[in-house]
Amino acid sequence: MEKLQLIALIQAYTGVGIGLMVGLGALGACVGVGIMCSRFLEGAARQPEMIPTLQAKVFLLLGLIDASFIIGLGIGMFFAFANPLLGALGG
Amino acid sequence: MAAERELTPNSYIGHHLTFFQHPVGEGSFWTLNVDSLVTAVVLGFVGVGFLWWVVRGATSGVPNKRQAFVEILCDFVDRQAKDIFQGDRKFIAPTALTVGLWVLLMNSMDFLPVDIMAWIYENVLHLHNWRGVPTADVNTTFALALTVWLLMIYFSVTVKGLGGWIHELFCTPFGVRPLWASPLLAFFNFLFNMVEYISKPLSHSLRLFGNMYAGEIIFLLLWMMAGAGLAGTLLAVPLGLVWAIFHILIVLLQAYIFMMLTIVYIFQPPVQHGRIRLQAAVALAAAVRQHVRGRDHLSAPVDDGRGRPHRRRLGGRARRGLGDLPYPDRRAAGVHIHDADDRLHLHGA
Repeated sequence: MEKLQLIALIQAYTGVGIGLMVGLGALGACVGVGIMCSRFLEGAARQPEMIPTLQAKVFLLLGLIDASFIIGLGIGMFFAFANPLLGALGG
Repeated sequence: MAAERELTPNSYIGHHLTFFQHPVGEGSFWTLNVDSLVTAVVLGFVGVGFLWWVVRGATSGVPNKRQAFVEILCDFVDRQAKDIFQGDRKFIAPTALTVGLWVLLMNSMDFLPVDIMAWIYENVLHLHNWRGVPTADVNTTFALALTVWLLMIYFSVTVKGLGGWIHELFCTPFGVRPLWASPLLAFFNFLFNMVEYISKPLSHSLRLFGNMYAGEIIFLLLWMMAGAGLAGTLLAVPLGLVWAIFHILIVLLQAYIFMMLTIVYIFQPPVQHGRIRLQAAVALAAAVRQHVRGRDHLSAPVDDGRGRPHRRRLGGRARRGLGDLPYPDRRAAGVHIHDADDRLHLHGA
């Protein structure tokens, strides 16, 4: 019973941690992508002939800005399904 | 799924996330993920083999569709490389093509439905716990990123020389003046450079791994929801469709990003080191402003010795009024009377 309570404690805090990782990461990524795309729209409005060039760069930057968020998501999923912190309990 | 096994959410996901491993020594470092290795090697041969087969039968006349496709692909990669590195592209373009095509093929293994492929692996090929997407394995992406990292260091040393590279390691970006603080400055320079050298391969590999791994996990979670009865299926199928369409974009985008970052990481130091950077910047600026200026067909009113001198004399009254002009046959700058929208064009200012 004691062990179950400890497991529940670890899982609960891990759950909160995963939520923070994914949520805050998404917040940062979305704000960053929003800023970048607003600049793209501004630039496209100023120079419509540059739209194809800028669009290629937009997709590249999209992947780069999303990188930290996706890494955080991957770590979160890792904690969700193979929680290493449970190893301290031997179970 | 197999009916003889008790299917819980954890066991479903756990089964799909377990590697087919083969130990070649002691400990987890020496355990091979055979599924990732074999799939990656097979896809490498398929991709490069396809290119080789098409190029072998290539003609310089009218190309057939296969050859046209390969030409479009090579031209695309070459253009991307040319945007970044204006020098000799004999090494960079094939490297970028290989990396891009290989990563694209490995990522595309994620298009095959997880459960159907698991059934095929288990019942047709008799392999248990076979994971089909090599880039969803952190080992594969780290192998690629570390290779790129080693190439980056090799090209840096080649361009700057070993002494120059070590000097740059300890003396950028802060320099070593004032001299009395140089040990401290060297320490901070080294720290800065270490951060850059460590973060590049880490982010390079984990970006690709995270995208593919998270994509797979979300697919598994959606299909797990579909296993929860009719309501679950009705919810999971549209969401699965949306996520699958988005994942197509992610697969292509991440392969493209991996290729572009390979080019940038390996060939940025040689570019920055030489005069090429200045020439490239000037060329790029000229190419960009070309569209905006739109005035290239107009020549400046200067005499460059090419044109015939106009024998256009001023009228007698003007000549007497203006006095002695030094070059009476040429148009003097600033005397051209025009109205406000002369020389304005639709597409430029």
